[in-house]
Amino acid sequence: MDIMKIVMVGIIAALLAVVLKEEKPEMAVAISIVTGLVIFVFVITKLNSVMTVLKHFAAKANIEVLYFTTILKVIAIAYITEFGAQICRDAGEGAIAAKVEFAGKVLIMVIAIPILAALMDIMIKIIP
Amino acid sequence: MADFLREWVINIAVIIIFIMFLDTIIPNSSMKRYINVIVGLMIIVVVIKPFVLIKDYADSFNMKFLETSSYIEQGGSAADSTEISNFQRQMAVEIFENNLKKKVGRIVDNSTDSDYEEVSIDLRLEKDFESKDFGEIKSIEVIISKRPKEVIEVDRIKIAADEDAEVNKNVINKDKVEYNLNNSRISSEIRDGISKALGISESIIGVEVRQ
Repeated sequence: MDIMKIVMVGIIAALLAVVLKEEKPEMAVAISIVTGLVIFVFVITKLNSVMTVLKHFAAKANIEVLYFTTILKVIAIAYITEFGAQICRDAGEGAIAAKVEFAGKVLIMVIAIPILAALMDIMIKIIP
Repeated sequence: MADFLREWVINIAVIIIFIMFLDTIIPNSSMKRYINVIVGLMIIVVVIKPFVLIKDYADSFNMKFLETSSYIEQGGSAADSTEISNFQRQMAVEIFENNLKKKVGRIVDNSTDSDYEEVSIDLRLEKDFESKDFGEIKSIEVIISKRPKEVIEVDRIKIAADEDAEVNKNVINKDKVEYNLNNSRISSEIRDGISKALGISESIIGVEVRQ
């Protein structure tokens, strides 16, 4: 079972990090980063297959690829930002974590801008 | 009309189900608000699509979307793209030079026999991107050297008569002339072959045959 593997990796890494925190805090941070990466990569491959199925259904239901890819991009940015910010927070760098989150928010807004612009354009054209 | 309505309803239903599903996936953080804004925009787009289609603004919508996204992407990557294109040009020139060298090497191999072993090819190309003649071959220098033969030790030879020495001298001279003729024949063959294969003037091709 995959969830068992992930949970075991998590528990072992947490124990190691707790033990090492007193002696070598920098190693504890490294362990948390590596564990996060391992779990992230493991889960992202699973998520990839889900996304392929969703894409297939989106194509079948005649949903425009434009909407679909935009939403997927936004979710990917959100996840990666969250991941990076949490690692920074674990290392005790709250300020850097806030900056990472800020960058993520800006990038999400950048993705949203084309939709917003197109929508505004249509609105202005429709209203006589 | 029925088909159109059917498609519209399917679109709305599918996108709502899809967003409900994605709502469970998205990370539970401050990002959620921003994602919701975009999702809301999407729903507005899907809902007003019939009006867009009736007014025949669908193309205009897509055009505006693509225009804005390309503008945003270009702004971020303008510096990167020039750097990348310069690097790609350099790589292309290198590959071109290597291929040209290989080709010249093949021509030299075909024109000479196996006695000639070491072949050095020196190419000079116009590498200035700004130049009008970019990529043009300026000159080709081919130097081929003969494989060193093993030296056979022979016993000392005594030449008694003057006549014999004279004969020997003549023979040596004759050989030398023959040898030079052979060299010039090979070099002209190589020059001719390269000139024909690459379509360049023979005057920019230099061939040297070394012992």
